[in-house]
Amino acid sequence: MARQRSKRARNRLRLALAYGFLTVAATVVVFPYLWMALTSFKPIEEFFTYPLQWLSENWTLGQYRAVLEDPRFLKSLWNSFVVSTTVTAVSLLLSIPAAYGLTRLRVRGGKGVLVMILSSQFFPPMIFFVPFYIILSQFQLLNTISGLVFAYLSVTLPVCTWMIATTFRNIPYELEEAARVDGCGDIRTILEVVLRMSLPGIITAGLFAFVLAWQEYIFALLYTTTTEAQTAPVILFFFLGQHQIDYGRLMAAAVLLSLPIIVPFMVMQRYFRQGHGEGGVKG
Amino acid sequence: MTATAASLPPLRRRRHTWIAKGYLFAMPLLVVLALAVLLPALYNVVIAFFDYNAMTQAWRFAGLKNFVKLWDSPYFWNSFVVTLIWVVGNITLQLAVGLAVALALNSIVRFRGAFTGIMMIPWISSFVVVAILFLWIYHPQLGVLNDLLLRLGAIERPVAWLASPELAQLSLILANTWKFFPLVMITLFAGLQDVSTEQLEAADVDGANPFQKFRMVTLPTIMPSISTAVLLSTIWAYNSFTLPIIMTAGGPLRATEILGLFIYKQAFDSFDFGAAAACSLVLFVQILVVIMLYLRVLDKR
Amino acid sequence: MAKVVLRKVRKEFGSSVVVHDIDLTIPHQEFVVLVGPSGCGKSTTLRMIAGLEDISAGEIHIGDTLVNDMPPKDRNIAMVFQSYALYPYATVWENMAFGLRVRRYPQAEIRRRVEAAADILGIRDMLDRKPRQLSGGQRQRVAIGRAIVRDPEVFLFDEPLSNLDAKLRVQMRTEIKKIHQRVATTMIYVTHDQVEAMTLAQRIVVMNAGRIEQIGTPQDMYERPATRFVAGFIGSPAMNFVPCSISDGGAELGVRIGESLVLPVPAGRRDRYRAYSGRSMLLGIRPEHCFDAKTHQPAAGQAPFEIVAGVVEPLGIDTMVHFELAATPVCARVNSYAVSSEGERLAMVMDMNNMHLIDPQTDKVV
Repeated sequence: MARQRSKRARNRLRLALAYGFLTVAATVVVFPYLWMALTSFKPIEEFFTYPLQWLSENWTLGQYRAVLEDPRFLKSLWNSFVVSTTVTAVSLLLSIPAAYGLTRLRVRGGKGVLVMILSSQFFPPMIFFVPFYIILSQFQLLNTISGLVFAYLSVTLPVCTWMIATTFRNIPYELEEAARVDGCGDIRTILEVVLRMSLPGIITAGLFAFVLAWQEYIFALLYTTTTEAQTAPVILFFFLGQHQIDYGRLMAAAVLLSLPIIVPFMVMQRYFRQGHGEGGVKG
Repeated sequence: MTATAASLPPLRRRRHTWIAKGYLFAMPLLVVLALAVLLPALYNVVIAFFDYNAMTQAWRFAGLKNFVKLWDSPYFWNSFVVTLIWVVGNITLQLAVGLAVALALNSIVRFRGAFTGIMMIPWISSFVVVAILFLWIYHPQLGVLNDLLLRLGAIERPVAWLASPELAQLSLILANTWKFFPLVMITLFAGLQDVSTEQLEAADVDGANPFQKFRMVTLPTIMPSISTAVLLSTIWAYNSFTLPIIMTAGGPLRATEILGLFIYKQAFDSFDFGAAAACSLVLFVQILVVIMLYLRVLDKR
Repeated sequence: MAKVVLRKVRKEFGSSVVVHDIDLTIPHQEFVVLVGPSGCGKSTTLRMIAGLEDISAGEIHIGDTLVNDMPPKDRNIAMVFQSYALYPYATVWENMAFGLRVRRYPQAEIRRRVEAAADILGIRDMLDRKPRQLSGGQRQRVAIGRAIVRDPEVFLFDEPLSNLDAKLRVQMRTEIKKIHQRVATTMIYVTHDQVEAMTLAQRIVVMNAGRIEQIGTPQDMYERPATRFVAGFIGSPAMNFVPCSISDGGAELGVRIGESLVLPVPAGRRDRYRAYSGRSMLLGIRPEHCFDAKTHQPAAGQAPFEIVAGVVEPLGIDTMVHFELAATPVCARVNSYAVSSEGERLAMVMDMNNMHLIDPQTDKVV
């Protein structure tokens, strides 16, 4: 009896410790974003008070207005959007049939090919710095959206293919056969069973591709030097490089850049986690 | 028999046509990958053995000259060492934080989803945004970190987190850990799901204390996940670029110039494409060694 | 009208032949069970009828149509899978309606059929649920329902009950039989469980190693097995096989077991067995055809013998007693009160009218 009670007490203590620790950790995780948001609404004068004034007394949208009135930033947001959606569409278009062919059709060596495709993910991006630069300049693709899309595909394609192949592999063959007996032809079986069943995985892969392209910085920095094709992360860095760094504007821009990633992620969180748990390697 | 028959492909006799069809489906992808991955990777190997003259834009075969140049360069060796510290520091911190959070998540039931979601935020955050956030937090005069520590009395005057050679590396590693611990956390959390409740109860019956239970039951079960997590975070640490280049650009005094930055500077500051390509190969080999070690460890089990 | 005809149907996987040129005709509305051990080719045969597996050689006709190269969707068949194969993202209603929707039935007709099938199966109030909210038995019903609504020419069942627990299996067995009586369609059912085969089938097809061993009614299979394999496969507990020889004593004919035991062959069988006298044969006798002499007086054609009881297994209604005849383990089903402990000497009676004589060279029952 006493032993049991002490065990219950210990369990309660353990739970309290776990929740306490997680609350602290969650605070540390969220704090930078909170601080970013607080800063972005603060008028510039309050930046220099000492000690720092954490909560502003005069909320302002001035920084956002300044950022959104900046044609370079707007253009870069548009570029980011175009690059990301194109990369997502092309990645899915190429990786869905490939994953289908390499898993559902049971080709010899299909698994080996998949592993090879995925292992290209272990190449450091630095080995692409120079070759991509030369290839893109040869084909007049420096400073173009297409050039960036091409560079990003080298990262998104292997991961998307792997993710989708993993979900495809988990679909029982009997389900496909049931659909055939139910009266489906090849195409309808693929659409109504294989794709329908793996929708969560496909959405995850698509999100992955979008997020990767949206936040990518290295290739965008190296291969775009004019506002024509520069994406938002590069422009953000450009704000930084100015003589007098305007942190208020920078934070407002960072908020705007983060929203398109964090909001859908929060919505899709369950799918996203599932996909990464299964076969995700890169994030 | 029914079990195997059920998992057999539908039309196995036409094996050959199906093989062709399978690769036909994969063909567009394979072509694009050949152009976007294989070709540049091989091209990089070729470039490593050539000399590039930025003025005349002429290529000249250089043999091993680029590698010799690296060997003789003190900056290369500086980066080499900085990278090692960077990698080890990141693994250690990410593993510690990731494991602690994973264990905590595993022992709760309510709000588990919510907490997991919050913990994943850094991972999906944009590198550039993270870099800017931490630049702002570390800011010597306007930064909230100094403000907080001053208020708490932990420091007496503002600290130059990123501007002092002694602290810059550590500050960067902390920021990078914030960004990457979720990857370790989620990998270990998945591993923790395999820990058998029965084994834990058996240990309970045997009178083991929580620490012994962790060592005898939990740890051996999640060991494969730990090595996977270590592999992933090692590769990611080696491949780092965005955070350091925005936050310190390798400074102060090259104290944070990891190999990624060194390669970047070789290529796009000094336009020494050959040396950059050669150095990226050296980096690649280091990663290969890590992967090999990982496979060896897996083999042993 | 759908009879199913298989002519010299053959299936090869690579170099191994899984189904050897089998011939089988299944008349309209018959319930046929393909039964056999794992790997005997029964499932492959069913899947060839369904069109899920190519035919290496031979012909399959459904009704009057040669279906060799016809995809499953055009064969007008319905199939119930071992794993149920329900679409997990769809409700029960959608699962059952899917095959009709694909075939563009009008909405009202779909509704009528799904509801009718749901009524037959007693799943009317589960139509809005998803498969994962159902128990194994309920899922099985949905899988059957999906087949019923199609009103197909041929129903195929691939081990549909093997994922259910024993009690549910018995219950679903009865229901499947009822369904056959109600929808009166040709049904082909694959199982490895001979009890399922015996209880469900109008005709049983026993398969072994890719060949058909015997085709017949359940009663045929039990009383007149054609081969040693069928004799041993059908019936539970399994038939005993004891090495023996036929000793010809002029008018009398005896089954000689070991040194001393000779059991007389009943008059009706003497002419059939005489040809085998002097050769070493196998005596096949079911446990339920060995009685104890205490409660069972030997009648005509029944021969007394003595044993020393080995392991004794009381089953309640009667008792299994294990013993040896000529160093071969044999089992008999005796009255519960006839034997109580190991080592007891026991007087037995063997019903020679139900004996089988097997030629070990051909494994055929003679």
